[in-house]
This record gives sequence, structure tokens and C-alpha cells, in this order.
Amino acid sequence: MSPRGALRGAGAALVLAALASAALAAEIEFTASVDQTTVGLGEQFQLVLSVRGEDMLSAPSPTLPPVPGLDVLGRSTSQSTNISFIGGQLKKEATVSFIYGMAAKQLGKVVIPPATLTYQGKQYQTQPIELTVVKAPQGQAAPMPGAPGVTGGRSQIPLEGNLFLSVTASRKTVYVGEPIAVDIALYTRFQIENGGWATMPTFEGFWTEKVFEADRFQFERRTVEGKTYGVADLKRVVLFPISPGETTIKPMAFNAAVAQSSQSIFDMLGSSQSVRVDSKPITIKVLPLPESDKPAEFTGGVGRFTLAGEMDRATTTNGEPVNLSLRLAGTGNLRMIDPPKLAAIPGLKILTPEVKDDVRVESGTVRGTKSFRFPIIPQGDGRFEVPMVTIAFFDPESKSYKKLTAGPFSFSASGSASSAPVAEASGLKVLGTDIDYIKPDAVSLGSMSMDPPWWPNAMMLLSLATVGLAVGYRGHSQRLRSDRGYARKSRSTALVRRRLKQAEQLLKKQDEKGFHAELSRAVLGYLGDRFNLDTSALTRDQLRAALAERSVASPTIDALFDVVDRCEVARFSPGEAAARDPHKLFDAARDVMAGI
Amino acid sequence: MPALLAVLALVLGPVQAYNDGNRLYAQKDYAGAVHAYEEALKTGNDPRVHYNLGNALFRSGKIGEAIVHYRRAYFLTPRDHDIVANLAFVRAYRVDKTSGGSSPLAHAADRALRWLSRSEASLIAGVLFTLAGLALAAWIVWRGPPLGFAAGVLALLGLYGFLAQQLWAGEVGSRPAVVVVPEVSAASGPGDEFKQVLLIHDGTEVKIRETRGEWALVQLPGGSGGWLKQSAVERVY
Repeated sequence: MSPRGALRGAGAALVLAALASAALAAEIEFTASVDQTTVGLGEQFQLVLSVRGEDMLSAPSPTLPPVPGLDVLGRSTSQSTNISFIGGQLKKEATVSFIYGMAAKQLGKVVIPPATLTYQGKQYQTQPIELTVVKAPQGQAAPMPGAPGVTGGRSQIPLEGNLFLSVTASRKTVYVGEPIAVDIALYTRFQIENGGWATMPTFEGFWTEKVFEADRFQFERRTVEGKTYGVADLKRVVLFPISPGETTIKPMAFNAAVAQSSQSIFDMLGSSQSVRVDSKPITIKVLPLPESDKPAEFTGGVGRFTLAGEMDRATTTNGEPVNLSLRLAGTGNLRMIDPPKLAAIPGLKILTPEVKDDVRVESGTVRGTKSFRFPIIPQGDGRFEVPMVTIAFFDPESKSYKKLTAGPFSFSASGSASSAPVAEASGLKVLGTDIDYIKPDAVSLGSMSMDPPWWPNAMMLLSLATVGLAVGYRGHSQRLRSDRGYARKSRSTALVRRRLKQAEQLLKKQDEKGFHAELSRAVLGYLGDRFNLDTSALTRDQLRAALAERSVASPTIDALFDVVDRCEVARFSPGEAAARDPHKLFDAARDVMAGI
Repeated sequence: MPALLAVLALVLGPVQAYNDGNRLYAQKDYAGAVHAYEEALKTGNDPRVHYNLGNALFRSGKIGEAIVHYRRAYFLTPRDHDIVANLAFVRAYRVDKTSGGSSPLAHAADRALRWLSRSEASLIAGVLFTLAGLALAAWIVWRGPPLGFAAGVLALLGLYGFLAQQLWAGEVGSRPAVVVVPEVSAASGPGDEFKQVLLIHDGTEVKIRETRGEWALVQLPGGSGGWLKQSAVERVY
């Protein structure tokens, strides 16, 4: 575990030890403080001696006398400069902190004696600080906080090899779904003031489970190839590859503010320098899971698991659902496991399961449980059985698929909504209900239309037309009976046609007399029927007036009388008949009647 | 000769597929039976095929699709007791219990009108109204009391057919559909980004009020509704 408590702010007590006596220009402030006044035996704590002053010409180095009961584990310095213009004057104030890592080695009260400092011939001194050392350590013994690797010296150290971002993967060849622990740490031999990601770590192609993410630096000392580094863990994750092939953990970059160890404390600016450190890409070879003997029950699990299943109750009433819970426990890619498929069971409705993960990361592996809760609704009464459930997973250690089983489970249901009464009035015992069986084989199949036929509607229209005709005929025949004029009018056409036909026949028989008489009767009879007039009772002038009154055009009337006159002449002076053409007269009579 | 064989295959193909489906069904190969019945339906609608397909679908656990085919069979032959019984049986298997809620009187009227299929109702309405019209015409002309009586009776029977036809037409016009996926959530608008408002399950019968692109606004019998992908439902007619 990383060191804890070394920089803990809570409980830190600032003890002002000494102040400069007078406010002279060259005077400095010299103070001492500890981050905690009660420390555990062997626990580390910090003593900070800080020197603050304007225009300090040289770095004053304090002297800390040997402390009985305490070990000095290391020392580092930090420096900050504050420049301001006040009243047109440049004011430069510098603070140099000397940080001592210390540990108590005896119980009881321990006094840190005053530290001394000589500056421009003057002696400065801090107040003694009293510490209480208790038995129960408030934290584990841990290495030096800050940047313990830095020797505290002032010499320039090259960056190369002394500051780098380390990304390590626990393994480089894995199966799909097999975990890889990845550690990202900053190794430094400098003092790092702060830092931040320049390129955030992204793990494309992996399911990422975060283990740890630093929110501040916690350095611990580690020796690599003879060099001692301050190492701060930045991030730790467990990755699960999603698909086979070569997948790369992309380089990431970190910006670190490196405290400059300068030759002189006068360095006005640049007391720290931002340095970007890049990590190296790591290629992970992801092996596909063997396809050859992959069981049908495989749902994506890679690791080692156990399976437990239970039904939350053995009886249910009124169609209430029962819950079948399946619980996978173990190590592996628990979050990537899909729910198993339960076979359809007649009479049961199995709903989509509720899925829950409870996953924690322990020493580079992911451990926990995954549970699937299937609500099952009985559709009728009786005893139901859910057959054995099998879930297969891949065990990367033995490189083989393994099967887990749970069940079978059974329960009984009663009082379901759709259940039939157990016994009907007849006393017959009803064992259960089911759908009716299929229809028998066919010799031919129909091809029925989903749309209705169109012709019944057409037929309906026709019958409406018939009703219309009937109504019309009915009206006509009633009027024939009640309205004499209407009756004459409707009779006229038929009558005229008959008389004309008769006249024609007489003409064929060379009966000129009869022909002319019939023609004349036809014309006059037509007039009578057409205009509802009694033509035999009217004089010629009266008839003419009556026709004019009924808006018959006078040329038509003239032509009419001409026909009638010629008929009269032909009847009564037959000698002249030969001179006349009876056919022409017949045509003229017909035209006249058509014209009215 | 080959032409004759082709015609024979065209005629006997669906029959063959249907009989094959029956054989597979008896062997409890319901998926195979579903396939065979669907093949038989490609050339035309026969209520027996729809009914047997409904059975095979129900045995495969597909309640929604079974309801679709039972309803088509019922539409074609509503007096078949097997269809009515199985439709009611399968409806009881649904997760969403939508209450019918209709009064017994309305239910009885519905059953009485649905005694005829839509085609039968249309036929009866057409023929009886035509006969009633002719009887009326004859009565108008000749005024015989038996003619008037016949016209009245025929018109009443024709009215029954007409109402039955209108009932079916109204149902077809309401664009009924059935949910055919195990579970789907309806959204408040036609898109994935809208709020999910309703969770509905396989077999729930809805009416399609509106469609936009691949989305359809469906309404449940209770009146609530929402937008679903059109692929989640299947139209009955």
C-alpha cells in the first residue's frame, strides 16, 4: 500500500517558533512546524523549517541538532519566490522550506529542540516542539513523503532516466475476456510539485475496471537498477479485452512540474519546470476463444465461476410470478456475462431477467457475483418444472470450456386467472386446458380474399333503380286514371301511329278515299290528343285560334290546314286524285305531326 | 405436359405445404410447421392454414403472431369454434391483461353481428337488399300485401347483413395490430430520443393511429398509447 498520512493536513499544527525581533530590511523569518503533534511509534511525520525573507542573498541553511528519540530519515528542500511591486519598488520575497522526514523510536513525550540559523551575522532560532509518541501507529510505516529520491542537493540531474512514466501490464498474451492488470506510475528522482495528464489514459478495445486513481501524489521509495526513485502510483486498472487480435494500450502522457534545484536561491522565476513524460505503447495479443468445442450454453464468461440457483417460493397463487435467481460467483469478466437463455416452457411465461453485478477488484483480479433474476408467470394451475439450467464459461487456465448447472426447479401454481374449474357440474374432473388441435389435412385450399366482393353493392344499385322505375310507373298509371288530359296525351302517339299505319295500308289497297279520310282523322285526332281539344266540335277558325293560343307556329298551322284541305279535296273530288301524289301527302302529314 | 405439371404444382404446392405442416406439427416440430404453413399462405388465404399456423406459433411461444393468424382465420370464418376457443385461450397467456370492459349487451350484439364474416355479410346485404328492392318495386306496382311483407322482411335481414359488414369495415379501418416482440417500450414521440412512457409485451392488441417513417403511434384498448417501431407490431388485416 502507498504511504498514508505523511502529508495529511488535518491535525497538522503549525507552531510558530521564532520571529525576527525587529522589522529591519534584511531580517528574515525562521519558523518550524510539524504536520502532526501526536505520532505513532515508528510512524513518519514531517518537520518543516522554513525561512522567509526579502532579498535573501544566500541560502541560509539551518542546523538541526541531533534529536534524542527521533530518527531523521531524509531531507529535501522546496523553494518559492514571490515578486511584487509596491510603491514602484520591486519586492522579492523568497521562502525556502527544509523538509525533514522523521520517525519516532520511543514512546512518550519527545521534544524537538530549537533549530538554529545564521544569516548576515545574526542568529535565528526556532521554538522547541513537543511531540507525543503513542503506541498504536496512526498509519503504516511508510517511506518518505515528498520526493525522497531527491538527494536534496543542488546539483543538476539530467531528466533522462530520472523521470519517466511507467505503464506495466500483468501479461501480454491473454484470451478474450481474461483480465490484465495495468499499473501506471510516475518514477522520479526530482521533486514534483504538481502534475496532470497531458493525454488521458484510454483503453480502447477493453472493458475497463478501475482499481485506483490518484488524486494527489503519494510517493514511495523504490530502487530500480541501483537507483532510488520516488514512485507515485497514478492509476491502476484491470482490462478485459473485448475482441481477439492485437490490441494496443496507447501511449499516455503526463505533465509534471519539476522543482528546479538551482545553484542559487535567487532564481527569480522558474522555480519549477513543466516536463512532459510519455509512456511506451504496449501491445497485447488477444487470443480468440476456441470455437471448436464452444458449448451452446456459453454466455461470454471467462474465468472461474460457480453457479447457484434458487426459486424464491415453491407455491404461487393467482398468477403471481415466481422468481428464479441464478447466481454466478467467482473471478473473471463478470460484467461481460450475458444472461443464459431459458428454453420456452409451455404454460409458463418467462420474462426478461433482472441483472445485478456485485464486483470488486482484488489483487489484479476481478471477483464478485453476477445474478440473474427471471420472473416466471404461470399461465395456468398445476405443478411446473423449470428444467436444469446450464451456463458454460471458458477457463483460461485449463484452456477449456466448463459447464455449470443449477436446478431443476419446480413450483406449483393455483388460482390462476385462466385456469378452468377443477370439476364441472357434471362431476367430470378437468385435468387442464389446452388449445384445440389443428385442422385436418386438405385436398384443396381456398384462396379467400380479405376484401369483400364488390358486386353485391352493384346489385343493390340496380335494385334501387328498379324501385325508382316502379315508383315512376306507379305515378304514370295513377295519372292515366285520374288526369284525362294526361291520358289523352300519353295515348296520342300510339293512336297517331295506328291511324297512319291504317292510312298507309289503305293507300296500298288503292283505296284513295279511305286513305284520305283516315289521314285527315289521324291529323285531327292527333291535334285533339296532343292539346286536349275536341277537334270535331270546333270550327276551322276556332281551331286555328286554339292552336295559336297553345303557341304552335303559324307556318306549322298553315301546313296542317293544307294537309287537311287536300285530304278534303281528294275525298270529295276523286277525279283530281290522280293529279295528286298520295305518298307525298302522307309524308307531309307525318312531318307536320312531328313538327308539333 | 410440362405446363400441365407446373399448373399442378401451383395448385398442389400450397396443399402439399399445408399437409407437410400438419405432419411436422404432429411430430412437435413447431418451427418447421410454422415454415410450412407460411409457405402455404403465400398463394392465398385459407382460414384452416391461418388457424393451424396460429397453433404452431403458439407452441413456439410466439403469442403475438399466433393472435394475428387466429384473428385472420376468425375474420374469414367467424363461426368456427376452434378459432374462437384458441383465440381466447392464447389471449389469456398475454402479460398485459388489457380489460375488455364491454357490457354484456354490447358483447352479445358484437357476437350476433360477427356471426357472419365480412364477405358473407356483404353478400347477404347485397342480395337481400336487391330482393327487397325488387319486392318493393313489385308492391309499388301491384300493391299485394304479401309483397309488402316480403319487402319488409328482406330489408330487415339485409339491414342485419349491412350492419355486420359495417362492423367489420370499421374494424379493418381502425388498423388493428398485435405486438410481436417479447417486450417493447413505447416512447412519447417517433424516435429513440423521446421519453419512454409505456412498457408493452408480446400479444398486446393495439390500433395504429398514425405512422411516420418507421414509427407508428399505437393505442391500447384502455386509451393509453405511444410510439413504437413498426417492426414491433404486425398488422392483422
